[in-house]
Amino acid sequence: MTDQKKQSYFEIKDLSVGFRTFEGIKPVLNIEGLTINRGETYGLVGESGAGKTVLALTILGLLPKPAGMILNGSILFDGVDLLKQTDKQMAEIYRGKRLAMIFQDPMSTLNPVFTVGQQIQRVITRQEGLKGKICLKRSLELLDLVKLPDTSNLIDKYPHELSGGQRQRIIIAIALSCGAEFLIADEPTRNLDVTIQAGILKLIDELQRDFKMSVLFIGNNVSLVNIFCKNAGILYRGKLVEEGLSNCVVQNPLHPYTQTLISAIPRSKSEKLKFSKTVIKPEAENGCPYYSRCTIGKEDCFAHVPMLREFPTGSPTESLNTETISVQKAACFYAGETI
Amino acid sequence: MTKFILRRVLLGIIVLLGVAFITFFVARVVPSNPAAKWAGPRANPEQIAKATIELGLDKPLVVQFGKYLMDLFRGNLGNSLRTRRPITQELLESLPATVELVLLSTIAAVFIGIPLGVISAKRKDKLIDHLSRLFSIGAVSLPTFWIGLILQLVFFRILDIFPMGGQLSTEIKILMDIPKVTGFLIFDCLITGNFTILWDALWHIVLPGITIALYPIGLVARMTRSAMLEILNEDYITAARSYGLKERTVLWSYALKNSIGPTSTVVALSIGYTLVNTFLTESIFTWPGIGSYISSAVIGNDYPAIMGVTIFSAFSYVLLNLAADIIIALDPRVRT
Ligand SMILES: Nc1ncnc2c1ncn2[C@@H]1O[C@H](COP(=O)(O)OP(=O)(O)O)[C@@H](O)[C@H]1O
Ligand code: SF4
Ligand SMILES: [Mg+2]
Repeated sequence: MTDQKKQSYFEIKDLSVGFRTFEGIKPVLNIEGLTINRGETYGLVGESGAGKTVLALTILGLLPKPAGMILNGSILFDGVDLLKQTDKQMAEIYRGKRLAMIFQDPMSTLNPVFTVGQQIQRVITRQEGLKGKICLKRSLELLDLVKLPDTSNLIDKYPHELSGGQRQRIIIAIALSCGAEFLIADEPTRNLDVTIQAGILKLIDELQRDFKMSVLFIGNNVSLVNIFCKNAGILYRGKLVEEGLSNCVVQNPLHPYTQTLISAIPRSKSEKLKFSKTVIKPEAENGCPYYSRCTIGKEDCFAHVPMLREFPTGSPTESLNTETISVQKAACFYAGETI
Repeated sequence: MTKFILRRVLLGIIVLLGVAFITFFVARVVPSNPAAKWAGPRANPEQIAKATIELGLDKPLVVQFGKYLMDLFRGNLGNSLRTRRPITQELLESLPATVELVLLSTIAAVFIGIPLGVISAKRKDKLIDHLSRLFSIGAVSLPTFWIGLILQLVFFRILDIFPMGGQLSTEIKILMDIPKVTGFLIFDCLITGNFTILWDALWHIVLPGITIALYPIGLVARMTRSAMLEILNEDYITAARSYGLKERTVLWSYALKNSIGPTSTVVALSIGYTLVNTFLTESIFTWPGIGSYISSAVIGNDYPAIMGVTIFSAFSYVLLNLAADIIIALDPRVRT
């Protein structure tokens, strides 16, 4: 952690975020480090409630106020600490221009009382200063770009007249209208029909290549992340418990939680992620956050918090290409032991 | 949407029929003898009997009610017992003064209440929000007549800035030609360019205007605030911010447009309430509107006039409700 490499493009350091509740501040996120290089795609996986959306909103400076609180840490983006920017600076310099986000629920992300055209054009006018006919032309181009048919008709429609897939494409079009270089995709297909999911994912993948964007892709499915993310991180209760090249993580999960995730990948839509609920153990208040659900945890796990440790990549299954020198990290005292 | 509005119109008609029914029977239960009133204080029993027939009071109640409804339908509210003139005409004469007050308070509700609500929502739990809450709760809960009296006490008796009542100063009423085009005094002064009278009229409307406007301003501010608080938590607002839109745009355009439905319903309904409030305020400020008309009708036991004003108020209420419903129906989410 001490080695001074060249400055990273995007780097989260010691980030800690909490929410104010009646019982005091509830910690929600605790990330020691997370790095994304320019042009790369990072897949963040975690179950619902792990803190993925909170992380995305923190990056954009859009945590719900006044409940959400940044307690510590920094988010360096191209050399600037985003957490030190004022809201005005974020709105003027970063949001929409350099950082963009696709939200997880296309049904609630579009404003119900404005037409598609009004919503896209307002952003184009704001970001590029285009007005009137040119603005309209540009918005039609954007809708073409996300492969929506019949754009001139679509532009006068209200969100409720559109399907989930169409809405998500429009949201992508709006988010990318200003050529953002860093995209956060927060479970973009979670609330969509399976049949549409692949199309949306393919679109994001293509756009990422075309615009050479860096992407933080958030999902709850490890195998999905493996398909088009170079690196993957596993988030559990606000903590990064495993990280590495995504195919390493999938093929050789070190953390018991990751192993459970991978062995439980649903094969059909109706089949939800399942966890072994056989062991009933207490929460380890001062120990490993995964202790209560872990099948191999021992006493020291109960008493001490495991830090992210580095492991040589591709240990047992040597299926990686040898040029990649990379490390896989896991926060577990017994990393690598199979559950 | 047409079906939706049609259903609302039908519902409104049913409400009006109900009101007509109730006013009619209540008026008949009132123990004083309208025929005697009609015939005059020195009338003998014969004359009273004649008046009874003349007024149709000898017919069965059902027939009387039927006739009453037919008249209503033709816009005929009957004649006043005091002046013998058609009530509809008298109402129309005193209407503009009342409408002027109601309009003023509605404008204030929209242009003061809505911004106040938006700002309070944006600055929730900050000083401005607390002040606005204090103001709104006071405005909504203090009785109108009390506010009116206090304003008179402070601004007329103590400070002597504003006149105590009336629509114009007596000197002006006597010495000058009051323009009469539409019947709306301020508007008439404006279009005829009569600024002396206009100034006097504006001076007179301030105190009754504030008295009446406080309630709708407070109500609209509260409702706008709560609607905005809910909307500001919506995903599409966070999304709008993520596009880098200015906070000003997000607040005053993106969020506010979503709150138009609930807010305008409140505005429309508060106009109905204001109308009733106006009646009271008018008597305090001797404002020559419908309120003053109904007070003298009540004092003079002029039951057709009372019924007329009641029907008129109910009609306005139903109309305003309909307006609120239509505004809501314009929301693209409701529109089918
Ligand atoms: N506005 C809020 N107030 C309090 N707690 C919140 C709020 N938003 C999120 N949280 C908490 O933060 C945690 C992470 O939420 P979130 O980031 O939405 O999870 P996910 O990984 O499913 O996106 C949850 O436990 C949730 O209870
Ligand atoms: S540290 Fe212990 S309890 Fe935590 S995941 Fe590893 S084995 Fe399980
Ligand atoms: Mg989420």
